Amino acid sequence: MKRVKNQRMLCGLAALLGVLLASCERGAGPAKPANDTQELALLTLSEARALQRRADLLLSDGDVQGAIASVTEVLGLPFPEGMAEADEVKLDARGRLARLHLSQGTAQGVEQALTVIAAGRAASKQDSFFLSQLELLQGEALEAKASHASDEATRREAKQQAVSAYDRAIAIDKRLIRVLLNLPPMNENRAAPTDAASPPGGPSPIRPGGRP
Amino acid sequence: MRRLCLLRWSGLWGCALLLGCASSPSVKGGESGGEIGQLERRIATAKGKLSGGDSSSGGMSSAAQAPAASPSTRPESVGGRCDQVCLAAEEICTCYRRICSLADDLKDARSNESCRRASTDCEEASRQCARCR
Repeated sequence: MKRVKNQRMLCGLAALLGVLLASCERGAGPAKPANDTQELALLTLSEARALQRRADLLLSDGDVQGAIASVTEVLGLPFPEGMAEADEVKLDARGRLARLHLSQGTAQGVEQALTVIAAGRAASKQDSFFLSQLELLQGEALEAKASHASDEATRREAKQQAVSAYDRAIAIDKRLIRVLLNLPPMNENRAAPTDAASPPGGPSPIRPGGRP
Repeated sequence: MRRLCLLRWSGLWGCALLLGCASSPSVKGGESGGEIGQLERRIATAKGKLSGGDSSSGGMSSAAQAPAASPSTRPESVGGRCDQVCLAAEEICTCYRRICSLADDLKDARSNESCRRASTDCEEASRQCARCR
């Protein structure tokens, strides 16, 4: 009788220990990797901010090339996989880079700006204000290209492409407005101008989020 | 005797549950937010010292949005929903003016059509902005 009682007590104590262990285990596990990713995300965002700030300081000293180098570094930062802000930070950097190249007022600067913009548009996965800014910038760069062109055909072509770029900026802004106002997606039967550098897959997930 | 045993066991189980709950780390939003805030401040201070930059802020969203393009772009503050709608409307109207200026120069059917559409888009976006406010 006493033996049975002891066995029952041992079983009870074992179960008690199990409950204690299970409840200790519950909260400790998955928190660390998430914190590591968060920390990495914050570090890269902070570094991007510092690089942009350095570009500000270099620009205030008239060092445009230094500012270009500093902003270019933002594009090489190791953002964590799947980080929502990474696309915007890079688009923002590309927009600034394009403006810096354009500010030089040379034909070479215009070409460099167009290259940076094309890379940004190709890499962009979704609609955002940053992307519409980039389209607007492309229009400006193409207008600048038209002003540098020596022959009428090139000038005309650049201006027509600028119209298309502004058209695309409008299309993105219209979609963003609809998302912000919780309106249903519009029926885009209008001949929206596109080109090879357009983000693949047509109207993509929209992230109104930040503003340039 | 049996009732006493039952009482003793239920007491032990209760204690075990309480102990277990107390020992598990809580993941409340406020606490994790505080930790992130602390981390942000630490990083911002360190980076500020490194780059000679502003170390007063550095949140995730502000860091993503703040170092906006050139000084010639629009205000950097990210306002509410209506502010964003109105900024988008402003951008649409900027594009409209540029398209129509180019269309004047190009004088072709396609550019003229773009100018006409952009005019409608600018009006509609301005109305949406006004209604939102």
